[in-house]
Amino acid sequence: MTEEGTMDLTQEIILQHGRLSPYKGKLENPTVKVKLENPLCGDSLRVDIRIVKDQVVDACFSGEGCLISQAAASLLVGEILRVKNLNKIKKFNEETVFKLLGISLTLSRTQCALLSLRALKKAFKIIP
Amino acid sequence: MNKDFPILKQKINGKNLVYLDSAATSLKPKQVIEAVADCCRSYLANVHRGIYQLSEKSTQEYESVRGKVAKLINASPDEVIFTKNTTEAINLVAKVWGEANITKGSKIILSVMEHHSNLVPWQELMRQQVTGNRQQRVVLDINDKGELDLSDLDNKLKGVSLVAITHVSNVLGTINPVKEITQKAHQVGALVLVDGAQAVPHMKVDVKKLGCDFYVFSGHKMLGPSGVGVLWVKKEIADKLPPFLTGGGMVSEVTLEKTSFAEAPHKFEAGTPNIEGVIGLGAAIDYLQKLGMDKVRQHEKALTEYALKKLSKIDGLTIYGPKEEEKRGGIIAFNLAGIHPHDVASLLDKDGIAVRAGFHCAMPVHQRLGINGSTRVSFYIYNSMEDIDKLVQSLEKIKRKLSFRVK
Ligand SMILES: Cc1ncc(COP(=O)(O)O)c(C=O)c1O
Repeated sequence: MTEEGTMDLTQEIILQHGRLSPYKGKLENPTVKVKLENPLCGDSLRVDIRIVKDQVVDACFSGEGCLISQAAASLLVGEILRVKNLNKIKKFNEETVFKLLGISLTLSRTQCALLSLRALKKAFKIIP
Repeated sequence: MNKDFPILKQKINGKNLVYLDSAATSLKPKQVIEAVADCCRSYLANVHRGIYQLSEKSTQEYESVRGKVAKLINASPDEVIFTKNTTEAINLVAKVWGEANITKGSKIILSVMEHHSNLVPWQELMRQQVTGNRQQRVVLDINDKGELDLSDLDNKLKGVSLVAITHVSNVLGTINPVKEITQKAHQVGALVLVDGAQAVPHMKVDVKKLGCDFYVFSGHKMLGPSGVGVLWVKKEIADKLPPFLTGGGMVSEVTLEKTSFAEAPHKFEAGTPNIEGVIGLGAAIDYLQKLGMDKVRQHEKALTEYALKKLSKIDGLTIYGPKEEEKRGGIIAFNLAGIHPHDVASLLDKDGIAVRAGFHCAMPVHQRLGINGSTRVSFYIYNSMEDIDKLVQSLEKIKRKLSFRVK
């Protein structure tokens, strides 16, 4: 096994978003909020979204977790806020998350990265 | 000795592998790999079945391992039952002994430091046998030092049918006084099951001296292949128990209407067993016996003492469990302030250091400690002081990289 292409948790983007996310918090009156647990470690993550007329107007996340789950959640929420359009956000998939993170992940850590996406998908199921 | 372990020749991320996860499973020496290969290559046939030479040779080899296991733990061969692993051994007891002996009003004592394997089968048994009555499970707590709190044991033992307790904790490393617990349990007529998964691979275990009634462990944690575990049951108890799984290999006479069962241990080993796995376990025991279990323990004790000293010097690092190496096996769980155990493990992996992170199949003890997981290192015969130096260096590096801006 070689170092090439292996996971690097100490990249600036992971550190910034994983530790000092600008999107961390809870919303006052979210349209939806979902909480999910990572089956691997039991860490939990909550995503809050406020939607007005098919547009996301605010979103954030909360919960404690590893760098990867926190960074992925932060980057995903950032992307949601950038895209805004609900129909486009519904198309987010695993690739979206991997691209945002920009580092390759080992098998076991993929779960951590996808926790926020799973929360988002669950949110879409309950959006009125 | 490390030349006996082919996996250690590997480079991980360009670095020599430092394997610190033997509590999960151990590496295998070439003597074990060869024994399994040789069995498959030159004589493997089904056991207790054929009357041709190969089958007899297989049967002999297979049964001779039963003898080796018995010798290792000072038992008699017909008390040694081969299972898949520790987990299956405990489930076997929960089923064949539990279903006959745990009834409404029965009490079981467990401890907060049990592995899920020595907790869930009892929860399930209690759920089936005594619906909804939570009072039936008594849990031994730990004190601030990570040792079992036995202060109220006499009281807690009243009316208890079974004590199920780990010999060595797979998180805290604590070596529990199972002999003393057994003596007290027997005074009130309770039986004792000891989970030896983290003990037998690492120290001399004598089931007669311990005095317990059931003792279980896994071959894969003691240099052997996966898929073989051991259940030791005291003879007079085994004789009275009904069989576990039924079918071939565990019977003496079968008609279409009814069946008489073979004696222990065969009545608990239905179907074709993991023959080559058992042969491999035999080679593993030979390897350990040649080293001597006292030497194994000494080596790990020295490593643990050194690691405890070195790790405790790292600022922001919390070690769980007893502070003295005499009181613990070669297992150290810890946390680095502000850094998630999974990130610690991923970053150590980059330096070729393999450790476990998370709950190590023991969530209750983490809840008890008020932590959401830990990083765990565990040692075995192939580890050295140098491995610990590398671990400490890598942890210092991780801290430097990640500890800036800690909230
Ligand atoms: C104390 C203890 N009990 C039980 C087990 C379960 O062993 P196995 O997975 O081999 O059944 C383990 C190992 O993971 C352990 O450390």
